[in-house]
Amino acid sequence: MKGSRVLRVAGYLIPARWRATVTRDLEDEARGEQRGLIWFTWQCLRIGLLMRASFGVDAVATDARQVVRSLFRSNGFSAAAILTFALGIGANIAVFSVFDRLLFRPLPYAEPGRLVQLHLLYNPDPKSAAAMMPGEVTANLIDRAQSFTGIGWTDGFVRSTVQTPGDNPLAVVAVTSNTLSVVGVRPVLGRDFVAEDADSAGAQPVLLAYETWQARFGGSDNVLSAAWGRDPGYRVIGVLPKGFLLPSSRFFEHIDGLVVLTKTRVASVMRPGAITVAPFARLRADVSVEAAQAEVRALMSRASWQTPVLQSTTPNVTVQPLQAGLTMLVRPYLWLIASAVWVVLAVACVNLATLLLARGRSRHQESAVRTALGASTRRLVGLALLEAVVLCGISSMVALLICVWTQQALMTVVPPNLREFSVTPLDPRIIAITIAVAFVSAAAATVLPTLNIRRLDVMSLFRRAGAGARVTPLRSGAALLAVEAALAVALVVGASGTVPGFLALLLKSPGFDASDLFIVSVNHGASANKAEEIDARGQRVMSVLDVIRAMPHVESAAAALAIPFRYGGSSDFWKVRGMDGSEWAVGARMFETLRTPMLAGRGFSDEEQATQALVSLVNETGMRALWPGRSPASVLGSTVRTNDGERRVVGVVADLRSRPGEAVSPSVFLPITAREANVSQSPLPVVLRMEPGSIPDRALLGSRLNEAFGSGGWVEIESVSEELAPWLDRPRFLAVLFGTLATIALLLAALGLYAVASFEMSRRRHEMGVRLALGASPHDLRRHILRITLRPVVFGTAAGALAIWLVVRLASASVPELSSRDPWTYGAAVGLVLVTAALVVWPHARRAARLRPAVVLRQL
Amino acid sequence: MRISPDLSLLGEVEQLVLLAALRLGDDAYAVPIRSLILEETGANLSRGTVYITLDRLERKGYVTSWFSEPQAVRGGKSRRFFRVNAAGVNAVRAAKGAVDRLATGTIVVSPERGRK
Repeated sequence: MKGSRVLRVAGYLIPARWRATVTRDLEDEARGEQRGLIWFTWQCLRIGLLMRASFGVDAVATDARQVVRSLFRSNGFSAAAILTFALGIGANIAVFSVFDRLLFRPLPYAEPGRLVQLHLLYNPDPKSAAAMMPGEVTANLIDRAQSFTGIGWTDGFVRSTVQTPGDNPLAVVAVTSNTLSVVGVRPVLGRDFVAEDADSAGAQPVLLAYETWQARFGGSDNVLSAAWGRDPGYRVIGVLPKGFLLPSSRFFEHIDGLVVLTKTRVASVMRPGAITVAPFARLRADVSVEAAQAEVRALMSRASWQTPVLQSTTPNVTVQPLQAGLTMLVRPYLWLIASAVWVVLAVACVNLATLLLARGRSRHQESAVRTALGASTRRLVGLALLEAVVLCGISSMVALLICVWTQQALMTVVPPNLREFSVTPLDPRIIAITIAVAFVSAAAATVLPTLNIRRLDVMSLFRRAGAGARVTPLRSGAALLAVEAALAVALVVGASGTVPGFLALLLKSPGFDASDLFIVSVNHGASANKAEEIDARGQRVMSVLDVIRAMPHVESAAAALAIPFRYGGSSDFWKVRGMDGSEWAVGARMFETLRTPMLAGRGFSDEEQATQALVSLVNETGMRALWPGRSPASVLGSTVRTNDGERRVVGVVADLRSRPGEAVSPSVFLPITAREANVSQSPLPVVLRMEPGSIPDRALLGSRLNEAFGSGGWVEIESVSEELAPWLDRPRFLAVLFGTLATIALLLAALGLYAVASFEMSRRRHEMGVRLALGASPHDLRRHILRITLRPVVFGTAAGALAIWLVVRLASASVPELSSRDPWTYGAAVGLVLVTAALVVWPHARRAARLRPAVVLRQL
Repeated sequence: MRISPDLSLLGEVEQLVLLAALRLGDDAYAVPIRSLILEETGANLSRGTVYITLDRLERKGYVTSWFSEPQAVRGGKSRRFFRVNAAGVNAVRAAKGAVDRLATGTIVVSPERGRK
């Protein structure tokens, strides 16, 4: 047949053992049916591809069976490899099931790509809304910008509604009436806000969060008739969809619903000097973000402003995609955490590579036999890859199952609002990512073992097997160990930035015992008469306290004008002394109720509270500020000047913190009645300590107060520990996450080192025997073994410390937890990894030192 | 590589290829096997399928192959012939028996013929 060269090329598509047969048959057919070269080539292509696919599947299935059998035989190796990789990939699955929706999926809005955030200023405090814009600028854009179909915003406050029937108030955010239509979300129940809601004089319409609807209203449809409060009060008009996200970066604060910004409020925020918060807009269909940015820039340059600060320079308003804007402040954290789990996965891959390398070396003999029998390098490499794929596949399944089982536990440490973004590890997308990561990792882990296989020299291997004792250094294994140690140091340093901080929050007492502590706000007996006699007000406080103290399971109760750990702020008392500090009006038994220790003296008595005695207390920081160098006992009896005159100090109390972890400000405490005259109609806050495990009976308390003061009053009860919990959420999350990741990294490094050390010792057994026979002492031998195995770890830890130092320098601006790194932290991290490594290697060194040369050398 | 024959039944294509090879006897190679199957059953198997099936049957030990004398030209190739051995005959018999037993009493086999 003509064109025989083409035929030969086409024939190469067919597997070698069938090539001659198939081409001969095709030549026969082509001759018989008068077919040409194109037909022949096409048939070669079809037959070749089909046969290769079929034989490939057969070969892989056969190899897979062989690999599984071999893994079953090597129980120890398989268990170590599976544990290693399951830990690495498990951490990834767990973290990505939480962050995937936030970082990589579209926002839960209609056409989220068309939503943008507008801002002029950025608030770096992650606990509050981030993007801000002067009201005047927002008003200008609403009136004149053509790029947007609508612009929405909030005023940045989380409001507390007066209590709902039978429960505590709701935390709601006021938004513009077009908010839902701009983001393209419809209520699952009831209706959206309408423009008329903004100027309605009646009860304020509330759109409840789905979660609040379920938890507080039992998910009932009757919620639409719920209304509470007076002047103007609130009424529920609808329920937001599950997991509704307010477009304002408040990821760490829970809200119960939305209310509409009234026209009066809108007008006050739009005036010069006021600020709108988190403005967002929907782009018109044919307008890009860049075009919108250009239009906004042009509008800003043409506008004239009444706000003085805007007159000096053209406002540089930024238009950016909403997702980027929303996650702007939390993104560094999310990426930091994502990077940490990738580092753990990298450690797991390195570990797997180390194990595979050690296993490959122990099977050199087997590989040599295979090669001698005709196995190609490609086949050996394929087998190594298949082994890694099988290991990674099994590990991934194990990791997925563990993640499913532990998801509930994981959720307890995830901050509530991030929790709402999490998905189950069995989510198809997470499974797909897991499979992809497993395959990529398997490929990565087999790079070094593969290179080793390619270098195999059959003859020298057989010679070496015969000679027995020649030992080559494990260079690639040492390199892997160094990398592993470096990654472990990086994670330990990361953990050191979060774990001690969180422990300090837990251990550094806020100055009071929050468990079983409640704050009861009572407005019974509040008088509208501002001129009411101070005595009458004092009497009211005592009567309220009498009712509360008589309630069942109440240990103690104390009144205050403001709760010392709730509010900060400065007072004139400290300002006149050139300091920032607080002044509190508290009742008798306050510190006994809070369980704040008295450093000297006593708290206020009921009599001092009733008679407005000229006495005071100071906290420890206040005492140091007022009387530097004096002891608490020595300042008792001293006097301080207040607006009411000279007050005698009767006690010094330990420091109280406004929030967990916050700095303590100097404080002075006065008996409550002395300040009572300044307020009227306000609910009276009472700090209440219950017996352990008891909670106050709200209904009973309400009815008893009604009996004492007449009906019409209301009571609000809040748990202090619940109130403080959100402040611990993020530190706890970061601490648990980094602590766990660092522990996993250390464990993996230890496992890898153990495998390498164990393998090295078995290879060097004869060498050790010879050394001992030649006069080496057990001490020398131990030192030698520690040196050869720990040297790569030392290099690795040093490199890791240097690398993480550079990363910290770059990232500390956006992640405050990383900002304070001192040399001790690095030293401690390096020390921890080295000590762990030494502990792992030590048993091997000891075992080698105990070898009996006569026995070992006889086995040669 | 030889796959140990197990108790599993032959596949449909395997049965067709084995039966065609049996019919062709010493002239059984891929081209006439495919043609005979097409002629007798109307099943137009692709050439690749026939080769893959022959390969599998050989690995299972149901057929053996040998090469003819090469063509009398420079670089001439041999034709590869197949012969069904005893194990292959037993395997076809077992598969056909299983189909027949299962078909008995169904509308696939008429009651009259079933009684014969």
